[in-house]
Order: sequence, then C-alpha cells, then structure tokens
Amino acid sequence: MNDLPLVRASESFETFYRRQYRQVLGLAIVLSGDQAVAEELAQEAFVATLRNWHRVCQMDNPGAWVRTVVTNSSVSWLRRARSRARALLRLASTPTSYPGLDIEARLDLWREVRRLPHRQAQAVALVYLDGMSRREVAEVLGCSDETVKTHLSRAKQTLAKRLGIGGNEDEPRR
Amino acid sequence: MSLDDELLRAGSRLNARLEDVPVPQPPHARGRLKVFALAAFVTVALVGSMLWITHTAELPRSAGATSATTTTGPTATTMSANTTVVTTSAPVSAAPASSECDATTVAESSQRLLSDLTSDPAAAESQIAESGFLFFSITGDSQPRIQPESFDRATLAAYLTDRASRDESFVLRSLIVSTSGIADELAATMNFTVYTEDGGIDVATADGGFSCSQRLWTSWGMVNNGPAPPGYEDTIDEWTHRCPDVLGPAELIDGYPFALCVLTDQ
Repeated sequence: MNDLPLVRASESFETFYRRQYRQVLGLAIVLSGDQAVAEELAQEAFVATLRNWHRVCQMDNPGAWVRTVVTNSSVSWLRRARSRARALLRLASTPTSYPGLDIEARLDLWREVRRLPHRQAQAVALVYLDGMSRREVAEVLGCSDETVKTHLSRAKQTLAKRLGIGGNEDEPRR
Repeated sequence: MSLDDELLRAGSRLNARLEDVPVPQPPHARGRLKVFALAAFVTVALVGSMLWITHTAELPRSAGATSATTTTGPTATTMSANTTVVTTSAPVSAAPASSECDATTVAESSQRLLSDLTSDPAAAESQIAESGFLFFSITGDSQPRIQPESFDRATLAAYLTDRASRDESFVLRSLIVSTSGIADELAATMNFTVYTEDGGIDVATADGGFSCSQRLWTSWGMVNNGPAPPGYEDTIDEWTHRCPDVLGPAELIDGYPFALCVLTDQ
C-alpha cells in the first residue's frame, strides 16, 4: 500500500493535504472520469476535512475519512450527471453521452470500472489505484471485509466478461 | 495478461501521471487569498470612487467658464459633500433548518424499537402501528443513529421474517436507511430481497434497476426513469412526504450518503 492513511498524530492539515492530495485526486478521477470534476471533488473533500479537522485528526486513519467523502461525493456527482444526461436525451431525442464522463478516453479500463455499480467501482479503485488492502477498503466504504470481497469478486467477474480477459483472484498479486 | 495485471498497470500509469499534477494551495490558504483579493478589490474600488467623485466635483469649476452646464456644479458639489462611504456586508443568512432533531428522533425511535423487539414485542407492535412504518436508521458515522457494532441484524431479520409471514402487507411498510454495506449484510440474513440504490444487491439492478432513492430524488426534482415495483409506489411516495427532513439531507451529512432500502418479499 502507498503511504496514505498512516497514523500521524501531530500532522497539520496542510501536511496531510500535501501528502494525500494527488492520490485523493486520482481516486476522484477514476470515479468521476473527468479531471476538472475530480479536482472539484477533491477540493470539496479536503474542505470538508479541514472543517472537521479537529475530529478527523484524532482518527486512526484520516486518509480513509477523506476518501470516504470523495467516494460518496463522486456518487452524488454521477447521479446528477446521469440525470442531466437523461434529461438532455429526452429533450434532444438523440443519443448522447454523460457530460464529462468520457473525456478521459485514455483511461479505457477505468471507464469500464466506472460502469460497475458504485460500490464495486469504488472497491476496485481503492485496491488497484490506492493499493489498499481489503480491510482498509472496508474502512473507507463502511462495510465488512467480506462485503468488500464480494464487491471485488463481482466487479472482476463483470470486467473480465466485458473486456474478454481472465481474472478470478480476490486480491491482486503484488 | 490477466485482469489483475491490467488493473495494476492502469493504476500505476495513473499514479505516474498524477506525479506531474501540481498540488494546489490547501483550502485555508485559498481562503486567505480570497480574503486578500477581496480586501484589495474593496480598497481599489474605494480609492477609485473617491478619485472619481473628486474629479467629478472639480469638473464644473474647470468647465464652467466655457460650458452651459454650470448648473451641474452645485449638484456635483452637493453630491460630493453628501457622499459617505457606506460599507455594507451581506446579511448572514440563517442556516437551513437542521435535520439533527429529526434524525435524533428517528434514531431514538429505532433504538427503542430494536430494544422492544427482544424485550417487549407488544410495544414494538404498538410503535409500528403508531408510525405506520417500521423504520431503522443504521449508520457507521457519527450521527445519532444506531451504530452498526451494536445493531443486532439477526434479531431484526428474524422479526421481519416472522412478521411478514403473518402480514403480507407488512414488508411494504418496512424501510431501512443505512449505509449500503450494512444493507447488503442485512439482506444476506433475510428471506426477502433488499433493494438498494447502488446496486449492491444484484436483484435490484438486474432488470434495469429499481431504485428507491431515485424515486425519492424524483420527488425533489431529480430526473428518474426507474419504475418502482408494482404496488410499492404509494408506500415510497408516502414515506417521502412523511419524512423528508430525515431523508432529504441524509445525503449531505458529512459527505455520507445513505441507502434507502425497501424490503420486499419478491
């Protein structure tokens, strides 16, 4: 795992922010598919973290907290984007794509990840981008290890089928 | 190459790209910059206004000898003499009514009901009859709800199963607000389907995705195209109207959204 959610009791918010920003941004990029939106989501998450810093800094894993905010706010953003897309589709009666979702064309694999149910996509991103263990992902998503295992397993089954490649392992090889 | 390898490579590539991304100023520093920028703007605006007023007041004197617009002199002078710098600040709008009270009420109600289920089933029945719904709010965050650690899933699952066997309409009135991971776990212990918003349960999305939360958001002006299961619309709509204060802001609390689950016997 990367050097993310370690316990650093005396860490200031600014140090925490500088240490975590890029990886939180990466998570937001994968989940939203749009760098500009991701930057906004990351900033909002850190603003929320700063607002609650007196509480968050006491936690064992402040990095998990800010990631939870990003995963949740990215879901909210996707819902809004999809709602807008549906409305536009109905108005225009022509096929359209979700605004902002396909901009990162280079990230084809992540685009497939984003098509998964939210929790599955979040689990995959946290494991393969952030390098988190199942236990750490469970902490971010607020569920049990077993639930994470289920999400990962289903996600990989779906991805393997869609991409036409094999992959049955629960944990990535390191 | 396996899927794992592909995913790991994709992760590494993106992480490598992120190395080149400059880290913006932290939020508080940005806030200070904004304050400085605002202060600078206000200062420039004030100085500019004063200069303009002074200039305008002097215009008639310089132009008076050659212009027919001398009558503007007194007006301008008066304006200048009467000009005062008024600093205004936007009124601090009252924060929207907090949902804390409602959320607390629901939490207390849920906690009491959970306790009654084991110690005083009659009281539980009474509470359900009174509210019209069986409602639980179970989260893992700091809000005043039942914490997952203390939540007895087996008790609730057994109760729901038993109650549903005696009253078919009962499941239509059983709603649970929880973090979706808990909803998944709960579903695994029960004999009926739990529809969750995020597709955590396959059945919920296999047919195009009934989403109770989408139904609720529709009521709040969001676009929705997911039909409710036959016979469930009124229940959900009624719930939306009965408890908007609890469900409405739930998405916003500390960035934690909540899955609203509808138990069905399908």
